Amino acid sequence: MNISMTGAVTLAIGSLALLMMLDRAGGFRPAREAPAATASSTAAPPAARGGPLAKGAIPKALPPDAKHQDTIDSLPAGKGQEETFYLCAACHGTALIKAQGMTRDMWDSTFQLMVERHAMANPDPDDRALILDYLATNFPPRRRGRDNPFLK
Amino acid sequence: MTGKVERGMHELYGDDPERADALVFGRRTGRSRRGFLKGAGLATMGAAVGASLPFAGGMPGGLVPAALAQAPAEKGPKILKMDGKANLVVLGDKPLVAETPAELLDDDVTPTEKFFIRNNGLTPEASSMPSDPKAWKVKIDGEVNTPLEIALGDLMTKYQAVTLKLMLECGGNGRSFFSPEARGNQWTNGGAGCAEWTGVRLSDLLKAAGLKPGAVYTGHYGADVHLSGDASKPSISRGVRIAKAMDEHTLVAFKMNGKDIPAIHGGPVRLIVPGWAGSASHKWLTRIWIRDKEHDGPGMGGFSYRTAKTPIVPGSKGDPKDTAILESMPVRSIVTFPAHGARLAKGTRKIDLRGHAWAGDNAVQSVDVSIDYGVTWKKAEVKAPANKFAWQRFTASVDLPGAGYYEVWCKATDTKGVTQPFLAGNWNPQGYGGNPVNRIAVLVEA
Repeated sequence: MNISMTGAVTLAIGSLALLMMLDRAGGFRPAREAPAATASSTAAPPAARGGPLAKGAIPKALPPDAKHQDTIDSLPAGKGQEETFYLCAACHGTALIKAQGMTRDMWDSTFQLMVERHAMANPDPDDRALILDYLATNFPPRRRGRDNPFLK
Repeated sequence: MTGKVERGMHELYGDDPERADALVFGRRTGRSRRGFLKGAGLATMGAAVGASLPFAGGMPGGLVPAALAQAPAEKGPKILKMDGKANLVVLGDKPLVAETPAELLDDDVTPTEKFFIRNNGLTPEASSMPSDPKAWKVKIDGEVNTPLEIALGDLMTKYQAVTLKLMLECGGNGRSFFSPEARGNQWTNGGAGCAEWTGVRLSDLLKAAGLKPGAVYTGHYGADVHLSGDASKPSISRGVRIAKAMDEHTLVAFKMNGKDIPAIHGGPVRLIVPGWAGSASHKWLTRIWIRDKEHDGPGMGGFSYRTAKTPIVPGSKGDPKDTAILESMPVRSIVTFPAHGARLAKGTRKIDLRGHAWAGDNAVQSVDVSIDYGVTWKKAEVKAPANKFAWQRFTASVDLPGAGYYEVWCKATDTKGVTQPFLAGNWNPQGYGGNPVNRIAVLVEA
């Protein structure tokens, strides 16, 4: 947990300022207001957070303040791996994903929870389906319990 | 046993435990709901756990032996490496969440280094904290006659400090016992600890502020930033009914085990709402908003910290409108000695076991232990709590008939007569209230 104090302060203040502006604007600010974002030139647009995302618009990078060690390889390879990684890991580590095994339905309600409560960007339905398929395929329920007659 | 065999076993049991029993161990679960082993099946299971199974006949069908029920260790658990912290098991690095293995919870009072870590947001940066912790301010506003804003320094000198041993437990403790899996961090029983907390009674502050007649609920806010980095968004904001806020054991705490509360545990100031879901015990406390209605901050809605009112089919979506807020945590007991996985010396014929039991708002009235899969039970000795909301020590001496693999089970019953179920029941999408009988495995060398 050794963080350079000055670096941390600069990064924290810079990204906070940027995020607050983004939030006020409800997404990317119009170009004419963009100069304000030069407070931190390293802060790539954290587009995986907040607001709607057009089809294919999930970024291919983590925001600079993601603050965890995970990389794309932290998730198993497969169709939708990139989209899943950059959307989910913009906020939290992949351990949280990998610890869970759920049906597509439960992954879907988890996805909704992330959008509604946790400021995750809301992707286009096709991208959402891609990610849900990835999650349901790679992280299905591992503890099925008894055969449940009501889940047929 | 090789890792490969272990994973294979997990997959089998994960798919269909009762069928796995039949396939692997030649065991069928009868109408009596009790499985039995015979012939080759018993030998196979014995081989799988690397020992004879003295009480295999009493093991209910579909229950994976405790030695196999642990998380499949592909790379083993991730161990926390942090100054001032013991070797906790990391459940997630962002947000940082780590649980305490049961054998590290053996102390009467949980040392700070062994205390579990549960964050919902980002730990506040040191740079965002006042250089003098005494300048940290807590605001109390809303349905009060005189809103307060108190600096920690004033809090410490103007109000009476109390020191109590209080249970703090993550609302999702025991989630990993649900089947099928519920959403969230997969805690075993290690999201709990009983430290000694010093602080002022929240009720004293609320009396000083003067509650208006319309005050019914609290809403808690802290300095931790939402994982998205959005400073306008609380990472979590939960609250409690006024009656709980006014309970003399609910503290605005500033010391943990006699020292300043470390930042990772919510210092310099945090709430301690003992016996209730830990998320009500807000860390890095900045504000208590007194509400004229049930609080509606993030963490109060949907399935968050809520259980189903009408029992739902395990694994189904459920209806968030048909839920009740999780308040008091359920009765739970854990064996803290011997450790799960302990190898006992050849000739060992007795275990003097120890553990802790607790029950949210209630006390524990009895603890029963079994070494034969619940066929016979023995009463443990249970000590009175150090104060209300402290966990209770239990001890028992159990005889072992011979060498082999044993599971030690323990089951607490609270003062309302409510006991622990054999399996986590009342399934809910976010997995609260998972408190089945605790099971550890030991091996007496032959």
